[in-house]
Amino acid sequence: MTAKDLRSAKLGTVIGAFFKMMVPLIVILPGLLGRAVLPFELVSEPVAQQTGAHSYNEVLPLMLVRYCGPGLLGLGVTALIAGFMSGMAGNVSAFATVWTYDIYQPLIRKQATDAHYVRMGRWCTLLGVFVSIGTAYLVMSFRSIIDYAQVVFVFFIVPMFGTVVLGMLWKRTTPAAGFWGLLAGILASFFLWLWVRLDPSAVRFVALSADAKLGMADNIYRAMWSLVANVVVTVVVTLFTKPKPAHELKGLVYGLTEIPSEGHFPIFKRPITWAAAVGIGFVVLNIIFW
Amino acid sequence: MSEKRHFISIWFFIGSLLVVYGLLILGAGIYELFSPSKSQVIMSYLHAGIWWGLLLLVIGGIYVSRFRPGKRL
Repeated sequence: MTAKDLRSAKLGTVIGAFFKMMVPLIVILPGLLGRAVLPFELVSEPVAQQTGAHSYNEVLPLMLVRYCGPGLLGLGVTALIAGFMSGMAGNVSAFATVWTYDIYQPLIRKQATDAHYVRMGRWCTLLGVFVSIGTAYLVMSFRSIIDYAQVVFVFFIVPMFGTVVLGMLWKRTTPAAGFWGLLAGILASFFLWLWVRLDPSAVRFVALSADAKLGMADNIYRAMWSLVANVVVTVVVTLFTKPKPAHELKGLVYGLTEIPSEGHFPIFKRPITWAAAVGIGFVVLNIIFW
Repeated sequence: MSEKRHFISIWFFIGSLLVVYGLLILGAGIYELFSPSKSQVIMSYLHAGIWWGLLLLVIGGIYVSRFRPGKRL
């Protein structure tokens, strides 16, 4: 929406994809380095709470204290805090906006003054901060931060992916199908997670293998089931509901939208070149880490 | 006077921030060089503060000079 032209918008997404593929590396690498260079053994969070030893999650501050002297240590701590603050500020303001504009205003109180909505947004922001603090305690019950992040991603991002792709590429998709598909994906993901949480041996059904063990791989299998539930429900509900007329979908669905020209650029400046590089990287990474 | 003259790029602020960080870290690194504290960090003989301070200063300097207000981008 804020990109200056189509090429910038496409390149922004492609660059984002590069960094997104690096997230596991960025998250895991400090832990691996810590394991190699720290003079003591890092343990999991529950063991750390019982024994008082350092957990994997403390690796960044531990490494900062070990290697960064005065000045650099401040920069490292500033970077950490800036990262936390930007993530939290973005999520809390998104929470306040979604609640106030998309739920409270259209469904609960339609005709209030602007001052009222601003006040509601502020209270939501405050509530969001407290929810964030509560979430920090929730994370402590997970095996690691990356495990928690993957669980949350699989709850929401995976079903969202199915809904967005179908809605964008298939003009027949209906609003009801989008809603029920998304809900089915989220619920499928949540109940599979709860099932394995209550009965860890159930992981063999989720991961389709008798040898499956609890670990981050079950998140990936849960993602698969969540996507399947999302797509199946979206397609089935679509076939039983009335599609929107084509003129209402202009600008929203791929086939019905006029795509402006990207302009003429050399091959290495075209988004398609870098998108292909991302695609190749994606396949190669999957082959290496399968 | 054209519209562009009123425009201050966000990269100028980022460059300024890097210059300030660079100065602080370089300063702390030089201070450590001449009066080392008792609790040394690992590999303190590499004087990471000086190198990082210089790097931030150079990168910040490039950004400040490239995006300074009034310069035609």
